[in-house]
Amino acid sequence: MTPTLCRSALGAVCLMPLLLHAAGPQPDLTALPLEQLMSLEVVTASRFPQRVSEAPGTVTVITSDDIRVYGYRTLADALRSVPGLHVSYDRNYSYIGVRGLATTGDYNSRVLLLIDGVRANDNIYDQASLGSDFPIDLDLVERIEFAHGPGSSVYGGNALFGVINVITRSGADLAGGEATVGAGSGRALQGRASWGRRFDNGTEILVSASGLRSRGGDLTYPELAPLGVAGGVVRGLDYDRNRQFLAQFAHGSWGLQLVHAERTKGIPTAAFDTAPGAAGNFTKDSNSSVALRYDGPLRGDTDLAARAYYGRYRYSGDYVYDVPPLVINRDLADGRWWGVEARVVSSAWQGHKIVAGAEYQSDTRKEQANFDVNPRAVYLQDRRRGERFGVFAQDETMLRRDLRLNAGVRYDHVDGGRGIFNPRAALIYTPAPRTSFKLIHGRAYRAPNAYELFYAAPGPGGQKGNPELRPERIRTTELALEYFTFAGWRLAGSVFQHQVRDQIAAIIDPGDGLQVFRNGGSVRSSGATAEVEHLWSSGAKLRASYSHQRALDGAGNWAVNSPRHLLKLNAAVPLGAGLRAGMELQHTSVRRSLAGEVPAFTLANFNLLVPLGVRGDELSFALYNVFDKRYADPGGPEHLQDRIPQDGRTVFGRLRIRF
Amino acid sequence: MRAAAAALTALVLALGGPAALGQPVQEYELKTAFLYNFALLTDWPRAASVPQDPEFRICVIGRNPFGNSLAHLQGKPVHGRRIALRDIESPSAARECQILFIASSGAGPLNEIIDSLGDSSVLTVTESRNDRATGAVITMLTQEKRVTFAVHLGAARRAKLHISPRLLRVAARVAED
Repeated sequence: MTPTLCRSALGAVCLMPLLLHAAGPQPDLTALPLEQLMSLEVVTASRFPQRVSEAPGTVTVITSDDIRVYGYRTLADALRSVPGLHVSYDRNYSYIGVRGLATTGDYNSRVLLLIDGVRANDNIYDQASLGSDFPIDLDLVERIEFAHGPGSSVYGGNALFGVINVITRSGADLAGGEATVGAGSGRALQGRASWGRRFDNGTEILVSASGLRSRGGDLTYPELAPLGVAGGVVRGLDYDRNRQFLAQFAHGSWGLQLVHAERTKGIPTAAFDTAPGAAGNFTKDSNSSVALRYDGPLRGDTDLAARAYYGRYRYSGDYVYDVPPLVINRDLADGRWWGVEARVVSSAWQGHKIVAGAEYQSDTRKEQANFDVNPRAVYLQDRRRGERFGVFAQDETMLRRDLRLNAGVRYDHVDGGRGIFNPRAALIYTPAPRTSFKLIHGRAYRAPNAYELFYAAPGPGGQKGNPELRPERIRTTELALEYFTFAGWRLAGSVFQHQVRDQIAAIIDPGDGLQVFRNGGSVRSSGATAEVEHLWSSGAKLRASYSHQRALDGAGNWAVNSPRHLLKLNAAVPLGAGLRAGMELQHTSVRRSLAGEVPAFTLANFNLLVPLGVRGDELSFALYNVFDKRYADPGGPEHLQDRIPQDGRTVFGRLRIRF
Repeated sequence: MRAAAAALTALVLALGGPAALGQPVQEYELKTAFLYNFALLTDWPRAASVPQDPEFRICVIGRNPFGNSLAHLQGKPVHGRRIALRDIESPSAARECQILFIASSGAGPLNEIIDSLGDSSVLTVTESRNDRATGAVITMLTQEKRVTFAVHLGAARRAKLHISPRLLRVAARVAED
C-alpha cells in the first residue's frame, strides 16, 4: 500500500483491496503483454467471456463501429465480410454458405444463431433469419461474433458450420435518446427511435422501435416472359416491410429482454410454380421472445449463468396459383417453445477452467398447415409437441507453460430419438506471447426438423414427410495460426476439412413424383484461409482475407452454390474534419447452380460518415455495388430461375440524431 | 521428480499462469496493467520533461479507485525513468504529471480539469460505462465483464503525444475528436 495514495483517499477504499487480497494473491498483470491483456473477451466460442486468442476455434468479430463505418443494414450484409462466408439472396430470404458448404433450399439450419447467448433458430425450420427478417435492428448491436466450425459440444444442435452470436447494446451504451431516418433506392424508408440509460442505482433500461418500408425496384426475369409476363418485367413485387421492437432491463446480476419483430416480403420470382407476375405472393415472418437471465458469482472462483426463455415464431405465406381461377394457397407455421439453461464456469481447481451446464427446451407447439383460402381445401394440418435436453462439460487445462488443452463434450437428446454425443478438443500452443497455433477437432449435429419430418402436401409438385430421418452430422479438423507483428499487424491463417455425413437433402421420389427429405451421402469441404488486419494511428483500419475452398457433394462432384475463391477487403479511412469513409471489395468466384453456373463477380461498396455537431449526430451516405456490377446468385429448387439476378448500384442515406 | 513438478508449477505461476488460465482478475489490477502499457506505448515530446528528471509521474485526481493495485507500478522503469505515484488535490498540480488518471468521483468537473491542462503533454486517462467522448485521451470502458478502452486522437494531438499503433490496434474505438 502506498501511503501517499491513501492519505487523501477514503479509508474504506484503501481497506477494500486488503480484504480482496485476503482471498489470494493477485498475479502481476503488468508482466503480461498488452495483447494478452487486451485480446477481446469472447462469449461465443466457449460460452464464457474469453479472449479471441484463447477461443478453441477461429472467431471473427464485427463491432458496432464496423456496422456504422461500412453501412451494414442487415446481419447478412455484415456476415459477407467474414472470411470464408458467402451469402445468397433469392429476394425472400438470405442464405449463408460457410467454407464452401451451402445447400440450396435450406433455411440456414446448419448455423446456430444466438441473440445474447439465447438460441434464435425457430423450432419448425430451424431457420436462422439473417436478412430484413432478423429481429434486432443492427444499430442496436454491439458486436457480432462468428465462431467458425462445430459448436455442438457446447451449444447442441444446428451448430454444424458455425455459431453466430449477436450481442446487443445496453442502456448504458446508449446513454440517452437516439433517432434515425433513412431513405434510399427502391423507395426505401427506414426509421428508428431508441432510448436508454443507466440510472444511479445501477438499473439499465433500453427501449427501441424501428421500421422499414421499401417498394423495391422493377425486376426482369426472362424465364417469366413465355408464361405471359410482358418482357418478363415484374413491378412492385419486391416490397419489404418490417417492424422491430426491443426492450431490455438490467439490474445487478439480472437481465430481461423482450423482442418482437415482423417482416412482410413480396415474392417477385413466382417461386413454387405460383402465377407469374401475380401480386399476392408474399411471406410474413414474426419472431417474439422473452429471456430472463442471471449472471453472477456462486463463490469467488465460480460463476453461474442461468437463462429462462420463451420464444414464438410465426410464418404465413400466400401463394397464388392460376388454376384457373386464381386461388390463394396459404402456408402456415406456428412454433412456440420455452426453455431453461444453467451453466457454471469454475476455476476452483488449480490449473483448470471448467464449464459445465444443462439445458432443457420444451417445444409446446410445432404446427404446420397448408390450405386453399377460397374455395377452402385443407391439405395439411399437423400439430406436434417436442422436447430436447442437453448436458455438457468442458475443461481447459495447461499442459505446459506454452501448451493448453481445451476439451469438451455435450450429450443431447431430442424428441425421443437416440441420444447423441458431440465432442470437441483443441490443443493450443503459444510459443511466444504474440503467436498461437490451434489444432481443433470436433463434431456437431442437427436433428431433422419438423418441416423435414412432417411437412406434406399432396398433388403434383407436392411434398411428403419422412419420420425416419436421422440426425445430420459433421466432423471438422482445423489447424489455425494467429500472429501479431510488433507493429500491430494481425496475421491469421487456417487449413480445414469438414465432412458432413447423412446430410438431409430434398429429392424427388421417382415412385410418386413427390419431394421428400432423405439422409444422403457424405459432403466434404476442405481449404485454407489467410487473413491480415491492421489499425493505423490515424484511425484507419484494414482487414483482408482470402479463402480457397473445395466442396464436393455426395457423388464427388463440385457442390452447388460453392465458390472456390473468396476475396474480401474492408478498409476505413478518416478523411479529416471527422469524416470517415468505409470501403468494401468482395470477390466471389464462379459457382455451380442447379442447372449450370453463375459467373464470378466483384462487388464494391462505399459508405461515408459525416459528423454533425458535438452530440454525436451523424449523416451517412452509402453506395452499394458502386460499379453497378450485374451479378446473380444460384436459385433454389423452388425457383424457375436458375440464376437470381441481384441489385445493381443502390444508394441509402441516413441521419442519426442524439438527444 | 516431485521437485521438478513443483518447480514446473512454480514456473507456471510465476509466468502469469493464473491470468493465462483465465481466472477472473480484479478490475483495478487489470486497469493498473493497462495504465502501465499506456505509459510504455506512448511517446512524450522531449521538451515536456527535464532530461535529468528521474521520475515518471502517474497521478490520480479524485477518489482513487485503485486501492493498492497501483503500488505494483512504483519504481518500474518507463522510457528510462522510474514510475512515481502521486495523489493530487488540484488540477494545477497535474501539469507535472506524465499520466493523469481522473477518477469518476471526487475529482470535480471533467472538462474543467482537462481544460486547465491546456496543451501540456499529459496523458489524461479516465473511466466510463459508455463510450461517449469524455475529452480525455484514453477512456477505459468496463462493459460485460470486459475492460477495453477508447482513444481520442484529437486530444492526443493537442497534448503532442504519439500513441503507438500497437495500442491503437487493440483499442475498442479510436476516435478522431
